[in-house]
Amino acid sequence: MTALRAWFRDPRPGWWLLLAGAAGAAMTLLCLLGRPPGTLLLPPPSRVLLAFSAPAVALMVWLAPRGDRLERLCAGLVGLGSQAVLASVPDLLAVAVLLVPVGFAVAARPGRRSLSARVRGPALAAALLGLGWALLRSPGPAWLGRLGALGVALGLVAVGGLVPYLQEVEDGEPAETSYLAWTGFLAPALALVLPFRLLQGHLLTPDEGMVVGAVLVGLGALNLAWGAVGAWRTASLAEAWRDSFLVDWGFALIGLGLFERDGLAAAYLAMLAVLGVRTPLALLARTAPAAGTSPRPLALVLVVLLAGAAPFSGFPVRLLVLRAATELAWPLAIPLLMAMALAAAHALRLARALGSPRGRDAIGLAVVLAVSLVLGLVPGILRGLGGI
Amino acid sequence: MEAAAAAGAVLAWLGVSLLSLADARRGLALGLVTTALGLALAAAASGRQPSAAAALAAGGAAGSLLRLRDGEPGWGLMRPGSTPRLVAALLVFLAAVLLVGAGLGVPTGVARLGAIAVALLALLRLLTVERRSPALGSGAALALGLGALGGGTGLMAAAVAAVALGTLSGAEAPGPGR
Amino acid sequence: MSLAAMLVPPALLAAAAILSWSLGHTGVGAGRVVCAPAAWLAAGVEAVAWWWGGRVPLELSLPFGLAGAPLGVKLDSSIFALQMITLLALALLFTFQPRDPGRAALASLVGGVALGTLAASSLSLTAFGLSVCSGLVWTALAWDERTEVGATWGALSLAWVLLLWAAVVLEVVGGTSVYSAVPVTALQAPVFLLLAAAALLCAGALPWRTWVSLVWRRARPASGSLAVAVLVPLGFSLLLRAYALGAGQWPGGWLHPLLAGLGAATALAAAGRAQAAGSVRAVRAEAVPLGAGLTLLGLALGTPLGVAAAVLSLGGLGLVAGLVPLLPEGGLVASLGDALAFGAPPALVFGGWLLCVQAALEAGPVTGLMGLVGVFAWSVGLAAVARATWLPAPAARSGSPVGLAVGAGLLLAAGVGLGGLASLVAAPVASDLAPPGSHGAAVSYLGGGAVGVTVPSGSWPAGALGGAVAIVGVVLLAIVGLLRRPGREPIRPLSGVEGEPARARRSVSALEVKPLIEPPWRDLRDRLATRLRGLRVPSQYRSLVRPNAVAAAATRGRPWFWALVTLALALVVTR
Repeated sequence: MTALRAWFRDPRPGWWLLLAGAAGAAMTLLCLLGRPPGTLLLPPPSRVLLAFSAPAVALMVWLAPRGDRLERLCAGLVGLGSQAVLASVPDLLAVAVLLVPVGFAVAARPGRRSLSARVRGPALAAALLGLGWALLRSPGPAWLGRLGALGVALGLVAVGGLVPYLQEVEDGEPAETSYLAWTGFLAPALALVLPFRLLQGHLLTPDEGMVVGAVLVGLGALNLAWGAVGAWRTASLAEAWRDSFLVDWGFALIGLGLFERDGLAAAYLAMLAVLGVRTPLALLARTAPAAGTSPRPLALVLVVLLAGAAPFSGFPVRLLVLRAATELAWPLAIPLLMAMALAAAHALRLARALGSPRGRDAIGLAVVLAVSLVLGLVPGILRGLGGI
Repeated sequence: MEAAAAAGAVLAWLGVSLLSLADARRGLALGLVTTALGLALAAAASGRQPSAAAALAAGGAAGSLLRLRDGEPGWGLMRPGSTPRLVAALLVFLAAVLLVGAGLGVPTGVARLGAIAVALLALLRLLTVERRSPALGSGAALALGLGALGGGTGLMAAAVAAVALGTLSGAEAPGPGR
Repeated sequence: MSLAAMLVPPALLAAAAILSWSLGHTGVGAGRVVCAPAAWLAAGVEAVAWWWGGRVPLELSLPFGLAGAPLGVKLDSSIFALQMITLLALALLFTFQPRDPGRAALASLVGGVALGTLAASSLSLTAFGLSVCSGLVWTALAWDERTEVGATWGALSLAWVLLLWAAVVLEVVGGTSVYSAVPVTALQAPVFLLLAAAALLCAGALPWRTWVSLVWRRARPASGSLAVAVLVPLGFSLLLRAYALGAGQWPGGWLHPLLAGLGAATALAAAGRAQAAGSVRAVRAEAVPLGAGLTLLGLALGTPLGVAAAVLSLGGLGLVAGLVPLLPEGGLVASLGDALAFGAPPALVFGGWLLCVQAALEAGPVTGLMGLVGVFAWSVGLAAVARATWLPAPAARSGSPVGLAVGAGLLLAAGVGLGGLASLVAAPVASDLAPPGSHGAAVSYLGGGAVGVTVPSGSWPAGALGGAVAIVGVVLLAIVGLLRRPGREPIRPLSGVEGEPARARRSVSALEVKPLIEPPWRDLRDRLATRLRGLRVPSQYRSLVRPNAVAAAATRGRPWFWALVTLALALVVTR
């Protein structure tokens, strides 16, 4: 008890953050249990995603400086609760509404940029999602339905902070207020649940489905290209890390937009990889010392992981999304292949940024590698757990 | 009912316009409560659950009361540089009319007009504002507007969101940690 | 027994890897002690189990998948041959190349994965295995030193990506990528070209300088030799699989002369680089590409003789991959080793290359010309070896005399016993993959029994002739060794930077060792690259479009940009 207390020594976070953390934990539990019945419905893929989010939160707390751990834990629990709620609420309009306070809660944390700058992305996402959903369900001419479909698709892209709704990246910004909060933690929950909500009850007409698919595939390809090139060429390392997320997201968006079983599976695995692998690596990179010594094998293996090669988490995603794209139209596979080949270039750079982790960082890295191996070697088991 | 819905829509639009033109706490609070009341009236008149509509109104009112706690004192209405916002208020209303289109003939369509206008104008304000308190007010209005587009769940969620946003402090933090 | 041949060797190497790593962590530096016997034992188990099992092909499918691909392994004559080639090369390297426990563990793991990849029963699983292998090889390369890792990484990444796509297309078109279940009609020319591109990138069998040449020019050869020993057979295995997928032929008759021509061009280009190289190491770096070119020439002919010759040539390449890193940098022994690697009789390399050329000559007039190009390249390669005796050594590396003796002994023994190898190993592969019924013209097999080699154009007694040459060579070497006294061996001067004009070891004045043939396009790539880098937009140019501004707006989170994009998309969608 003394050791535990010492671990959470002063300064204590505000009572409101403690309360919020407790509320977050309670909401997570309620969502997992499905209480109240009919109000909160967590689909199986989201359950698995939540299970992958918990280690990411744990790592964030683990890597925090000693005095900040309780605060980080509370913030992480709020994040987990938000993720659970966003995935559990069946009504997409209600999800859009709840995105607003979640966006403000994230933006209200101390950070370099102003609250208003940080909340713009989530607010736009909420508006696009909500307005799009409303237009989809309201009677009117065909173009209105297509506009609604566009809104829903763009809402997903905006909530992830993806191209063309990229947020500004500032060096030194705390993780919980940076792009990581959305691109790497909250948005994957929405990405997995959106197809279920859209396809429930055959809401979309063929026209609207085509709009959603085309927008997701088109923007997915754009994000893929932007991420692959940006992560390689951009001057800022923080932006390079953010761009590396765009590659995973690109695969996920294309997989979602193809409306094929393999594509959905690819998106599911990609989001798990974002939460379980890339976000923890990005967190580790923030605390890693500057690389100067000769690379150790563990750091070299990271290059293979970041390039999406086997036996790590990137390989099944690539296999599945290639299969889905080739089934639909083989030319779709060409930008995918180019991005896969280009991913090798930025992997070297990002792995160097991670340096040669030692001590607890090395333990964290080993855990991430293990998670990535599980995702890469036995995706079938995870697909079975997620029902995809 | 259609008249009530129209009155509610117009009231909501006036409220959000006031909110977008205000920079200080009183103007924001009044704008927010007007928006909430207008949306609740329109929602009730268009056949939504009265309890949910009442919850929306209550949530908006609570949020606006909480907005009075902090932020710049006074009304802050129509300050220099607010002309584009005034123009935007009119344009957004027209855009909302365009989106609703033929649906204007029924109370549901009129209520939707108000909600879309509120959501769009609040979003525009949120995308352009720099200060914390107006941003929080606009966020609450956005949540109310989006919630008013949905059913009971949306209305309840909007009420909760408005209250939650009201609890966040609108005082500007010093230095980089804003 | 076939099951044992299939499962035991990769398991042995994997277990050796774990043991070596564990011992290294406890401070016991016994990596080589563990991994070398494991490799030899694996080779022995594989050979014995395969022969004792009656050389019966076996396929094992598991009900669950691996990384999204169906999990299954198979063993047949071609896989056996390739695995033996890989194992022998690895055994030589593990035994005679110094490695610390960590590196030994990684090398053993690479070997285990390579064996598993060779035995994969589906193309998607092969792609998975190639990706793992590439990653591990890259890790080994980068762990040693940073030079030439980028180019290697790029080539190998592209290889597995292309192979993955080929597997996916097969699954979409044919319903499966399992080799034994893919319909013959599913292997169309586009899929084959993807597969071939992956194979050639992996094997480094391309006319320009590939990763195979680059990794052998590094200062520390251990990981480079591992990469060559593992990945070159893996690359060629894909082309062999293509025969199986196409029931004995590649889709489209034009693909055979295309790849055969590419093989000839590869051999010629490698020979050209070898004869213009500035150091011994650079010459040796072209031995495998030259052999890969001739192997490709034979393999691409589409005849049973061509396939058999390619397998024998590949065997020679494998042993060369194990032998060359053990050669010293200078001296008579080094020159002899280089000569064996570049096809001097009576080694296996010589026999394999000769058969490839013969097969090309017999396959038709066009391929016959390609065969003559191959002969020319071979001759130039040997001339490069002769020229290399005048070249300086970049570093005083003594090599491994025992390893050299073992490696050279294996090469010579295989060359002398070429007939036996042809009958027992190469011919079964050819009969499995390219049966005579699958070809228009009846081209008879390679035959000859244990002491000779018989091909339609004639026979030559490999055993008698090769044996005699080998005996004479050994006797001569012994005489030279007895007569040679310490200090008489001319010491090769060390050169500085790679790329400087090679200075002859006996030079008094500034005498350059010029290339035998100076091709005008020698520095073309570097000149082009320099010119491209120097391209600039004229300063007077002004553009309406400012991509930097757009990119800045996109990445700075500007609301006006978001609104503009949304509006544009809305207009497009509502039309």
